[in-house]
Amino acid sequence: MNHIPEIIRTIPLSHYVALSSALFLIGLLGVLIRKNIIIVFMCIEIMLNAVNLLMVAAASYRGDSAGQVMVLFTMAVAAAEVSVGLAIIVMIYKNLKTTNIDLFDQMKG
Amino acid sequence: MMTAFIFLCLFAIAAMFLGFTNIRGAIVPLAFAGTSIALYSVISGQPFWNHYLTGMVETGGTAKILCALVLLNALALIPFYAWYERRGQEEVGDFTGLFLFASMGAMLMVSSTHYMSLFLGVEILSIAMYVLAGADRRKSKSNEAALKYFITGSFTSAILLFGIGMIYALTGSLEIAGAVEVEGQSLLQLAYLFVFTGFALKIAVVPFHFWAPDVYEGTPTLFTAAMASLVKLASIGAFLRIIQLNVDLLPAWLNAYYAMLILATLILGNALAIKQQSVKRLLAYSGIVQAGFILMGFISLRPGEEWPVLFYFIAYVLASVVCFVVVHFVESREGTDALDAFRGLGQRNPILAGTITLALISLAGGPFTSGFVAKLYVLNQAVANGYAALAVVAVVCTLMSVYYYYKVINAIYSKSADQALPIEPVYSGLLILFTLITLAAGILPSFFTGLLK
Repeated sequence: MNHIPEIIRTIPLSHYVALSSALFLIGLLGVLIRKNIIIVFMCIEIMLNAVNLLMVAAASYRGDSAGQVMVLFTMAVAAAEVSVGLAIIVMIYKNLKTTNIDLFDQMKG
Repeated sequence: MMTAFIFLCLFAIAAMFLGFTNIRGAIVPLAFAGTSIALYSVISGQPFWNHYLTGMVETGGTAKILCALVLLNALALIPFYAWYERRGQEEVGDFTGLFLFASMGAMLMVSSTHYMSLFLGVEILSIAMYVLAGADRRKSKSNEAALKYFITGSFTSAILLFGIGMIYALTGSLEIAGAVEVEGQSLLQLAYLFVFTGFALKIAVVPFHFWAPDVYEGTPTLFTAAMASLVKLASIGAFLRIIQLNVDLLPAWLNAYYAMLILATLILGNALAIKQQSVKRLLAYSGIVQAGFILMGFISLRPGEEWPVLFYFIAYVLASVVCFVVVHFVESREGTDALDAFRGLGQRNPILAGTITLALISLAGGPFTSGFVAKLYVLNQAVANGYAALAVVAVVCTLMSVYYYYKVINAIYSKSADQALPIEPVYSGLLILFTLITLAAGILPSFFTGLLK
């Protein structure tokens, strides 16, 4: 049985870069376009995970563990962000009874 | 340095636990003591436990000065959080604890030499600030501010992280100073563009400023003070460190990028500030413009020339802390931060009026204040590096900015029949102290620049 880094290396690095860039762009456009906070929130997670993919692929191509450790940190940070973000969304939903981003326009100018 | 991190975390956890007990009065003094110990351990530079930092954090040079500034900023703000305790609000432990965590994240940001610790610092700072932005959870404005700050903040982190990921994929190293000549030179420049744009979003310079006024307006004002001083200091400080560590490898377009950002920030920031009726929003735009000025010190930065930027930090942090704290006291009495709420403040409380007036004069760059000297140093550096045209635009914009600062000062010293607005002597004393330092740094700048060099 092959080691996982070797299996990862059967696909060229440029493909990983292209895939993670595409995922990142999808997330970015989602944040800019979508109206529902929960979806916007998911799009941010897609952006973070696109970077994780890039890091893991690069780490196994370089035979360097720093990238993989960074991915672990990113995942922990993303989990903390999710908990805070969901708490904020729940708080907003309790007060305003909506998740539509266009309705949060009390402050302008 | 490691002891500073440990003490901040321990005291933050202690503050959060004390929030459950009946001795909430001890929280703020304890937090102040913890931050003082951390400051002592940074300044004395004792190497105890530093090997646990595994080379990811720098303990000397500019990093040390920036850490000290972050902790001094925290020390300046912590006493004011006792206001929540005096008002009988139970969350004072959470607020103080989160603020200590935020300071610790800020310290990690400005001292890191590795992208991993940099990213962790950014996130520790931001996640604590998201919660603090929504601290007033019954007010829908505060909810909205928390949401907007959270969405833009995590979006920013994702962009920053993508830049870091690309740098790692191209160079195979997460050391900030580790970038070497690689074959994909244009891709590496794209990666740097992502990192710098992430920082520009965090610092809030035009055209990446769209979130700042809304977030500043909705956040409870004592935490807006932290956002305007601590978060800006940390983001610009970390940016400064990245530039410093990569000074030989930076792409040639970077100065043009700065010049573009600075031009847009100074012109649009001032133009948008003029029509504001809310003082908090006005100060938010003022903060955006000041960040543009600080970035001017980044143009063609050479080693040993960071001190104008550091001096600007002192001037800006002092002035913005005073401004937001005064706005807080007025707002908590009047229920609004509109310009009209400030009418007659000169009669109602001369100390609040005097300190905010001097702080606004310092932000506008009036003579005999630290703001004037800071602007002078930064402009001097821009001219010396061949950006005279930019300096001229900056001076014209500063003259423009006098108009909206004057609008506030004019309101403060107009007549009003409202009753007096007393505040506790501790707070008056602190505000006067900050104002005196502002004046001292304006009159005797050589003492402060000597410390920074």
